[in-house]
Amino acid sequence: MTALTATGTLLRLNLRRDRVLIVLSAIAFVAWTILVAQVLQSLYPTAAERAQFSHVVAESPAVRAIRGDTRGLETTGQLVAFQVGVLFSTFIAVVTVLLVGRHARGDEESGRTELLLASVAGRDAPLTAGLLSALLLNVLIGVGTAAGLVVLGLPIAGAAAMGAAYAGVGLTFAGVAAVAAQLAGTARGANTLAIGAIIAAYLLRAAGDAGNGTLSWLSPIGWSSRLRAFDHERWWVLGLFALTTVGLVLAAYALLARRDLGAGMLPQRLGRPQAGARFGSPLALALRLERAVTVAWITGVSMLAIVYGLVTSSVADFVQNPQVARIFTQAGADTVVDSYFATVMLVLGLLAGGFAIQATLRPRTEELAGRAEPVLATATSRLRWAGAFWLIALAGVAALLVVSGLVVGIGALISTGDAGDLVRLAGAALAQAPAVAVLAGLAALVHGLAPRAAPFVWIAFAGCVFLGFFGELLDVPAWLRDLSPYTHVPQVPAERVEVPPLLGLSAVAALLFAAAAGTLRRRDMVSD
Amino acid sequence: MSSAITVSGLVKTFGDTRALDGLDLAVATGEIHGFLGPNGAGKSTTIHVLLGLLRAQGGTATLLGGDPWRDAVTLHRRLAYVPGDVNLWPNLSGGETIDLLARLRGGLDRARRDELVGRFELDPAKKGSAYSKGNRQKVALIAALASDAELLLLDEPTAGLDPIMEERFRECVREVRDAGRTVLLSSHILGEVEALCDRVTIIRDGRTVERGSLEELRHLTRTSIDATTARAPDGLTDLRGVHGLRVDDHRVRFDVDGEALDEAMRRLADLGLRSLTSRPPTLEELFLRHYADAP
Repeated sequence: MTALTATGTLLRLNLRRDRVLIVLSAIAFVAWTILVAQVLQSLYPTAAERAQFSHVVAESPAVRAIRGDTRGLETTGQLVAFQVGVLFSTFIAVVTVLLVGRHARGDEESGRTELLLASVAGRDAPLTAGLLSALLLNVLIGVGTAAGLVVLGLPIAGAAAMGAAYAGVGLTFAGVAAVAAQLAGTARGANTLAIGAIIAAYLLRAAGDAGNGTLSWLSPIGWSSRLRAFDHERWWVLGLFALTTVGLVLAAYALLARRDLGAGMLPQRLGRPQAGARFGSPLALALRLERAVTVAWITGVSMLAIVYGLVTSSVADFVQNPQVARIFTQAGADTVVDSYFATVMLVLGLLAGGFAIQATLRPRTEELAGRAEPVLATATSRLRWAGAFWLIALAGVAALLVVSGLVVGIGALISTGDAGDLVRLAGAALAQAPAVAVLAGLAALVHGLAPRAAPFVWIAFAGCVFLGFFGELLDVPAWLRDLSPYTHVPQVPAERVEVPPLLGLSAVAALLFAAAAGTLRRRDMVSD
Repeated sequence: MSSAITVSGLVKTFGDTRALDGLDLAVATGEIHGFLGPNGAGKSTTIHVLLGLLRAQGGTATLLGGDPWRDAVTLHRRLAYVPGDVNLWPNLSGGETIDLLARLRGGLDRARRDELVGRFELDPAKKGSAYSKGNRQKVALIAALASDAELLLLDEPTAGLDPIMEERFRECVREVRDAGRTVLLSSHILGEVEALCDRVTIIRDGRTVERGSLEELRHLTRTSIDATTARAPDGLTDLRGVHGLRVDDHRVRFDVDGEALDEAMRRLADLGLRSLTSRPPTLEELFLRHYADAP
């Protein structure tokens, strides 16, 4: 097949460029899973303790919406699958989508694919090499996870199913990304489309798991828990992953054969022949470039927020359960609901952190792509240029938090008929803003110091996510947890609003931005 | 004659690479100055230093009387720039990009902008991601030419333009010069430089190897001679300054250094000239000589 000529060469090239990403993410997911398994083993060593735990969580639709199906939580393996299965397969899907998008579309946009196709590489070679990179990543994660869990002494079949579930979700979304790369007009558009599909799959599963479970069957992320690792594994579910992946990949090749290099299947619209009257400042440019992605983030997070809001009454009911109530002896139902809200606020804050980093690193993307140069060659200072993006990013964070907080409140209102939470929850979400601003400031400073070091910010962010979800569960030392800005945010509405830590975080953020401005002014501009 | 750009002894290193190694450049106000050099010679790096995007480690650079690093923003109001590699925002139309860049500089001459869009036959409604390389180049050119900047910094501005558009570009640049404005034209397209430039600076490995008017540079180099003589053209081999001598019966062809031209002509005349064509060196020969001869 001449269309595949030089796939091997390209694959080696991909692996050269992505080896760090592939190896680091494989290690992270495998290590993370094993760590959680180890801790759960020591926290709930006996069947009786595990039964008590599962009793507490099994009834809660809120827990099911966030973590997945709660049936069968009697063995350590089942607890592991429950605690990390859904969450990690979603994260693995995100990493896989970005990897495939980069090779199937990103290189095409930067002109590298053109260079390759004009030499000896076949037309299908870049997509194939990208998919093979994704296959390698997911096989590493799957095999590593299975092996690690077996070494910990968990049943072989369950461990294999767990690894297969990770790889199955990852590969299914590799197929989704391959199709998205053919549909969208730009690399960014392709990634947005594929990430949108992951969010949709997560939400379908959340709605399904909170309800009677039917909807979960429509979601590849739902299949990962339907495989029932460590609980009479239903191996045929792997067939669903395989069929979907093969179908998507074939569709991607069929679409690829029908489109032109550099174009998508979805038509490109014409723009305005002249700029609007007000389109003439760095701020207008930043707003224009960030508008769509900000709205997409707010929409995506709000969809999650409504699910979190809608299960509020179940949280309240769940606390009424006499057995559960015994556990929360000194805490009333309101307090438990508020603790639930506080956890939701942390999730919203972490998501806002991801958005904030992406938006604050936008000037870096502009710089590396060579689009900062023409702007900085006009009467625009570096600070005005980057500062415009910073302002838009911070305004976007505020909007994201207020809107998603309100949406949780609206969900709660629908669920409980209590409108009192609306403003309270919007405010509670906004309390996360100073912590998010610290991450944004860190991103700005790294860009100011060394634009090529940006992955460091994402590692710091992954650390915050880890500490947020597992810091208490895994009994991480306090000094380490204190490194995450989120640790210092008062857990409103469960706790009272503490002003000093919020002011402290804001001051740190301001310092980081000031340092970023200073470093950005002093260094050379670079581009790829 | 006042000067728009004065650069002397400029040094810029990236890690172990010395991109600029004592570069000199002087551009007089009102001239079109050719900035020549092979790929990687340091042309773009020099322009980036002049734009304050890079900070030089040594030497001095003065641009329109200011310091390109310290006074970047105020200087940029008075200059326009066309990058060598034009990257546009994929979601912005060409028209929006032109208008945005003009406004960021400090204003837009709508009539001039529309005239240029027509002259370069650009569809300003297309999105940045839909343009070919040549069309991206046009967007950047129109944005720069529509301005009333005193100084244009053009970094290989015609890459990707077809010959018709290249001719339109030359017209525009001449108009700029006729209006008393200054142009620094970095290029390796020698025909373009020969057609447009008053003076040139040739650089290699971050150093200036030649500068002056085209006339002056030609004096420094060889003239090609093609002659037919009455008597057999013997005895030319021992002449100083004659290169690539080829004798073919009574026809003789050689290149001769500027200072040896006089002597060579006398010898040929003595042999009884039947026909003679002499051709001044093209810039290309000049250029190739500098790069082929060098160590």
